[in-house]
Amino acid sequence: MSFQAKLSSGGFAVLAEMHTPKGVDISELITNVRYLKSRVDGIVIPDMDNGVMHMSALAGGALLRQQGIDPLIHVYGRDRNRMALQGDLLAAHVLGIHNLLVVQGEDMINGDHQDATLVDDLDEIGLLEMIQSLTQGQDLAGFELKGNPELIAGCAIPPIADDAQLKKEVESARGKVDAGAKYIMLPAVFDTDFYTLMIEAFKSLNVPVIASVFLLKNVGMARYISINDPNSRLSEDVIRRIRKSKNREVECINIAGEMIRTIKEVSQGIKISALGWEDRLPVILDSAGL
Amino acid sequence: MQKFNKSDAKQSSTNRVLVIGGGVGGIRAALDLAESRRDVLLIDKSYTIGGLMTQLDRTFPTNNCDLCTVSPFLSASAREQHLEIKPMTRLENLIGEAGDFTATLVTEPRFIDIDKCTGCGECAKKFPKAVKFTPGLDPRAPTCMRYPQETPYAFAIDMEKVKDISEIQKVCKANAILAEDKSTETSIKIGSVVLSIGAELFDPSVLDNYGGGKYQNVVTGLEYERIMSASGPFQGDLVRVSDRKRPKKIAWIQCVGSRGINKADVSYCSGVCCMYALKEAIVTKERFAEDIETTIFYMDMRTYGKDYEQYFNRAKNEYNIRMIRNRPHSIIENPKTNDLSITYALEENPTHETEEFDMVVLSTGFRVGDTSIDLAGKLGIELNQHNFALTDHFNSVKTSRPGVYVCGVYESPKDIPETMVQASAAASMAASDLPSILKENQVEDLFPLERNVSDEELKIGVFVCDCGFDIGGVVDVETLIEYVKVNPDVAVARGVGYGCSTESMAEIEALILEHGINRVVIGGCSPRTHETKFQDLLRRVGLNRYLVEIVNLRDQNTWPHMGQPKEALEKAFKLLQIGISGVRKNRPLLDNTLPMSQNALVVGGGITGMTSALKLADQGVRVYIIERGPALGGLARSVRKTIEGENVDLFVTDLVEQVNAHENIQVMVSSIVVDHSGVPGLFKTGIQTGLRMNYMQIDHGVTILATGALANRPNEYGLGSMENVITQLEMDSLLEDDQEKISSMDQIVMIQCVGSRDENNPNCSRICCQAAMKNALRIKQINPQAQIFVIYRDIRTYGFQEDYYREARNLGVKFIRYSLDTKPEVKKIDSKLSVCVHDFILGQNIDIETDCLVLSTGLIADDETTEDLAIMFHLPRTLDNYFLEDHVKLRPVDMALRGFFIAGTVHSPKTIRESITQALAVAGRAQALLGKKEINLGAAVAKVDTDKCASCLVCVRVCPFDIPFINAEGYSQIDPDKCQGCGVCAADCPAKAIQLLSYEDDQILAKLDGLFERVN
Repeated sequence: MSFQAKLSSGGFAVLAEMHTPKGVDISELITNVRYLKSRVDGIVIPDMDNGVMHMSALAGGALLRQQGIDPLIHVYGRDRNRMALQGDLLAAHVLGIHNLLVVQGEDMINGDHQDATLVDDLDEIGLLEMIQSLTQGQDLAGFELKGNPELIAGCAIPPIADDAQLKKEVESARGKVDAGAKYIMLPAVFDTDFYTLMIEAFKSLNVPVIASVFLLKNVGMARYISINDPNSRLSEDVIRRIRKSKNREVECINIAGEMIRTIKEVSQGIKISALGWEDRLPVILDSAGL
Repeated sequence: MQKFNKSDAKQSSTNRVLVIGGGVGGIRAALDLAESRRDVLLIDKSYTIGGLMTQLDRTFPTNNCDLCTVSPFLSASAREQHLEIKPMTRLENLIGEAGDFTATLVTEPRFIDIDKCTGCGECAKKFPKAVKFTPGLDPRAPTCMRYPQETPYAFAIDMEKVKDISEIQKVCKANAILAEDKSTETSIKIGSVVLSIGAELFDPSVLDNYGGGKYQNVVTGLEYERIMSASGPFQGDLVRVSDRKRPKKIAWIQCVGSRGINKADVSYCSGVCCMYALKEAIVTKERFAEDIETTIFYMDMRTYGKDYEQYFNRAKNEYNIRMIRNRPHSIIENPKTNDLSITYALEENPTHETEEFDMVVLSTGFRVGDTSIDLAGKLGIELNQHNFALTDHFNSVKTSRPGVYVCGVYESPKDIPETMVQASAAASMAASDLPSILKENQVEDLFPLERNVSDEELKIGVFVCDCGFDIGGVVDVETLIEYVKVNPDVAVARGVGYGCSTESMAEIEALILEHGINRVVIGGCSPRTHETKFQDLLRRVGLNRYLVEIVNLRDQNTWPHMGQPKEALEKAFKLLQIGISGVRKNRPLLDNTLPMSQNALVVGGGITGMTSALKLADQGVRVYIIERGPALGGLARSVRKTIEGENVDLFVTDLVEQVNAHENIQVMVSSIVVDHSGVPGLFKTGIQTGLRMNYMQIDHGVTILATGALANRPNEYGLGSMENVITQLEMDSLLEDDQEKISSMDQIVMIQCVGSRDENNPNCSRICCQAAMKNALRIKQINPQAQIFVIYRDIRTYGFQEDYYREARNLGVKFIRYSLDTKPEVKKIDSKLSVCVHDFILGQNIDIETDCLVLSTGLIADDETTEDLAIMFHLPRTLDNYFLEDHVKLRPVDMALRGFFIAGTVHSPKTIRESITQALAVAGRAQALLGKKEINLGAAVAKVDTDKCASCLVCVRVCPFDIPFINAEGYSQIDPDKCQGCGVCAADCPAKAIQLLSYEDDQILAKLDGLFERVN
């Protein structure tokens, strides 16, 4: 079932995240996609994630479509002006890509092209409005399109520190929904209680809420996140659990699986990221019982 | 041995390094350079190489004799091609500059032609006085002689003691003895110099109080080693010199001639004597008798090396070695019994005790000899106040003359592991004065094309060594030859003396070519040590290297059956028949090789990682530096000044700039390692960067681990809970940032060993004593009136750090000792800090008020990180969570897993300067490995016969390395690049579909045929 069909039927949508290669060797991507084909409702392809140059998400989405999987691609304003963006979105439609996720362009601080010129022509609201306008048959200059693209956009929520920020982000998301966002993608959080709280808060906007889970790979990564990203609420208990385990990789997969099982009870969908370990996505799904 | 156009092989005279001194340091440096395809000339003033280490009996902390471990990975061809040794040679003059020196060398006459000498030892037997020979190692373990002919096997004639040279010439069957030989002067072009001349040992006979050289039973540490050594004067029996009786009570006196103020003393600490005394005492108990009483008189027990504290604890607790903290004034001999009495005072008891001992060992340290000072003059390098080579504050191997590097004891007193580290560091620095790594196409193929032997008739050549007495003394080689000659297909059978000698190898090669031999059997020693050598011989005559069979007549026959010559002869014949029968089935095999990745991965972006990265990048290696923090710099960012007064900030900032600007270095900050796979030379490591966790994989040939250690912060003595309780690191900052506050302090107390040398962290943190001295001296500089008390357990200012300790004492810093039972207590009285400590001399507790309590907290391993990396990289750790190197003594920066190196404080606590030395050393070691360009995986891999494979999965299950898999065609596939050649699958395959190449069934069966066959 496609992602949209799953959401509109009220089912639980399962998404996996995969990156396009930095280069033209797509064999790994295609192999990993094949293993997931019958198990997910769609695959999310980020674009130039983290400011690192990759093959464009548009090509990645087209490849997924060829493999018979429903693609979702990231749309952001950092690298392209409204001309390029609109052109790409029309292309997306004809390539069979109809799901978009509007995200904020990442800071280039960890990117690999730090001297690149930042465009930032449109912000997230601007992007959502642009998409809405295109689907209604008009470009941003007010000219009519020959054939309207079918595009469904969602919006992404930044990491949330506390209840106060939660309130603020819900209001900010309301603006995005008003601008045309049809679903909401939440950031990954390791504290399931707080996650439930978050989901409940965003449900008030009356669009489907998709949660995110990513795979921890080792203690080093868990420690890095716990120090540098307090909003992820990764506790000492989780780190201790990985350290104590005989097989740390399996334990990390189980942690992701358990997270998904818990969140499944409250959200309308889940996006699973393996961050380079896409070949482990099937076992994460196994562990989550999906 | 055939030489490959030696002069042609050298690109230019500037690809050569001169290594002066053939001790372990010089050998290590020379081997490192040769392995990196640099030409090396190693000179030594002695007639043999080996230096001091070969005179030692056993070495701490492993208590092994293991010189062999020095160079297991150096291929014979690299050695022959790049390394030249000139014993009895000294440097006379050095002109020019780094990269373009001209050295004048003088070689003294040896009166023996090394090319002809087989090392049989006949001359030394008949004329022991006139022939100089030091086997150096245990003569009962000849496997220790790694380079039988090249060392050289060390005979020389002392002409002054020869009456008639023709008499000696008569006993030499090889005609190697020269009646005339004179000293020769040569001049060579070199790019750089590595100086590894060591130091002399102090001669205690100049002291009148200990009776050294006067009383027979007073010996030096080295003399004691010789007494215990199997090659020593008493054949390894521990007896007294005076009456050849086993001593019951032995005492060691530490710091003899060192750490002193008397005329004959030097002021520095010799750094190694505490450990060697402990070792000698332990070995005495272990090897000779548990009940020998051993006592060590010492001032401070300086076991500051990696895991040395635990060695000290074992000595005390397991071996019951008695430790007395006292420097005895004198030794008095009882003229009748030759027993020795020592009078000493215990710290807690002011009255003197007198005790008798059977033997006293004086722990004497290092001295710089006059010849070294003379040599330094010729080299034009500056010396420090103790006449050791003066080196750069941040680079311990760099002398004052560019292009001249120093390693080992001549830089400062040190033990073997540190000498090895410095040797590799010096080699790495010396290489940087030469043109950068040779381009691929300049690496000449050593060997001619292989001859196709598949259609040829079998022609077996059998060559049997006598190995001097080792084989020839037990079995008669000529009789053996007569036996094997009649075997079918044997075209030539010859006895070849020392088969591995230059002359014999040339003879074997000539015979192979003359007779068109296509299979070779060598009857000799162990394939473990000599197979490669003979395989290379086959390659030189155009035969595949797998067409030779080595029959181990020595280790497996003449050694164990030395007393049964008749049976040994029979067995030798049988063994040779196995070889001859087996070699018939030997097939040419192709070694599996993979191109080696020329990238290096450096984990950790502190001073160590950055130094290694820069060194490698300068040599054209592509380097990835992974740092988990947001910026480069590491722990050194929190250190302000070194003990020498150097500004660490400036140094680090400059280093970071260089690294960031280097075109061959890719810096990845906010990055962590998440996965790892591959084989040495072809690793693949997954790295994740930033909060968005961008993942990428890096291909690399070598991995350098430089993740450092953590500044320890134990919750002791009020740290973290009481005001004005700080660490030495914080004091270091305070001294730079708030001198007014320092000026306002009246009394300052420092406590040493906080969080070290206790149950939780048993080892010594090594850096804290010097940190305390550094800060105490700086406080005194700012505020001379300040009273400073250092509460310590042992002051471990090793080497020249002792100078700072002495200076602190001279400036009035007070030192009060404590022990684990009498730990000081911190109190707060009327908002004033006060430290209560037991004073052993006063015999009572004293309270010291203090404005600031400075805790010497040292370093602690980053357990979580090293554990995580150890799991990913499959590397071992020490009990206290540092990485464990391959060999603590001889391979201190190599991990057991090839391609992995460790440097800096992830190895063990150390100073910045010491970390930099290790960083340079790993860069050198890594370069040597990358210099190979190809990974040879050997040819002994499992091969599947697809016609026989039933896809039963047995191989898939039994393989310990998870290599076999059932492929798309439905049969088992084993990747030869990954196969480890263990043969488990071949043994278990029920269909016999898997064969282990070079150990195939028909080859094994052929050998069995040979065993049970009767030819005559």
